[in-house]
Amino acid sequence: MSLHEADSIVPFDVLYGTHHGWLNGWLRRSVGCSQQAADLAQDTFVRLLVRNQPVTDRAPRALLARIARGLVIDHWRRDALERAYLEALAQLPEASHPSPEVRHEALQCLERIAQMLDGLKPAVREAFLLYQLGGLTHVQVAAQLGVSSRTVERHVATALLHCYRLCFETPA
Amino acid sequence: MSQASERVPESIVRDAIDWQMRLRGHPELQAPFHDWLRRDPRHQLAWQRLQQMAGMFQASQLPRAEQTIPLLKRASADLSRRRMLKMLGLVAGGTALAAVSAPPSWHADYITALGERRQIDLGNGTRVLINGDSSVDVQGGELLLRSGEVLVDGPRWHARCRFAECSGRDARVSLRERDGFSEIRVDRGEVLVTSPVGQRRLHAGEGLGVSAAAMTPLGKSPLDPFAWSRGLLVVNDIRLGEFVAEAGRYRHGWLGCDERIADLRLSGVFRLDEPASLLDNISHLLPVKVVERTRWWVRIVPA
Repeated sequence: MSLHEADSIVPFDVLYGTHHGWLNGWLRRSVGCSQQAADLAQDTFVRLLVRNQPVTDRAPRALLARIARGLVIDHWRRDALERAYLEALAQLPEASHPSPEVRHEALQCLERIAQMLDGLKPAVREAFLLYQLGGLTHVQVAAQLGVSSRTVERHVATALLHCYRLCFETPA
Repeated sequence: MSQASERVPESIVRDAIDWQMRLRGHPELQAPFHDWLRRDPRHQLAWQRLQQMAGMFQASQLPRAEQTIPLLKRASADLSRRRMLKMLGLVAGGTALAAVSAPPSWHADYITALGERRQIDLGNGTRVLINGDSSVDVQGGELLLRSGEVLVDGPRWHARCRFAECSGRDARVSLRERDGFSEIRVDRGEVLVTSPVGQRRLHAGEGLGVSAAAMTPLGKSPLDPFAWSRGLLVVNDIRLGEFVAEAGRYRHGWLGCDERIADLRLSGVFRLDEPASLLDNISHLLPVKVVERTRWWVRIVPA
């Protein structure tokens, strides 16, 4: 990556010292909880460190906000999944509740799936989930959703290709 | 994995996807499929990768599909609603929408199970009836519909749904989250509906659909939007496809309708707390039959 001549590189400690307070406030307004905001602010700077690319003095806050926004969405997603998972468990008899370890793994698994399906249209997601999780054929999915099997085929193929690209063609 | 980063041409990935879909339910295609697989190592790589992906969805820790699918759906609706609120907060800036952009801190949660109905009190004489499979937050006397459907009835109340804010005066109103829009129907009184795309005043008998992009007046629904509060499903000349989708909201598992009969019309009054007899009834009223593939996979097909 070539740097513009006029841009100067900001050392990490200066970046932290100058913008940490601002980022904290920004996150507190987003998530409405100061403890979570503090954790997310910390995570944001960790991401920046791990990224290991120099930060210039051109709009450092925009960069921080972009990283933080991604983390906030991850946080919300995890939160939403956890609620939905607990709701689902609440409908089962207590005797069949899984152990805390299994719950933890299930949530991580759900998170990976939800993350992967993020950005797909609701109709595409629904057809794909019935196909992939429900194990139905595309003809059965079509009957289930009351749409043509051609549409389901297209939806499922779109979703599979989307997941494939995310898993195998996105640079780490 | 040495092949981990190898890029397979998209046409091959698409072929592999095509094979995966065709093979399901068609074991006779195994031979031509294996011919295809042997023809090129890249075919094998694409296939392996698809199997690897499929593995992610079959993890043993996951709840059964009939729980996991609605769960993912609910979480995704929740996430997009939060993103939406965030976006409104960034875009609106004005005072009218200040309430929407305020940081959501979720004080109270009411979550109803499928088929359950629950009443809560917002104070100052406002009652909220929550339909099954719905979730609601209450924040400082204000209602926040997160998913599903509620009926709000009171002298003066304020409620938010995914795409709009509603202020009611002596109003009895149903709010329902649909796919991509919020549906607001007024039974009695007057409601002011505000969203980033505009503002409307609704009166008794009127309905409005609010999406991210538009406000659309809704005509009379073939489905009585308030009947569920009395435990009834009241329909008038409704498409069977729509009826089945509606009935599916009150029972576990998947309820599907064959396309060939989806346009048949149906009128009647059905009891929601007897979902089994609800299905029996339609097979008496229309030339259809109910096929139970598994406990949770039920289809309505031509008789």
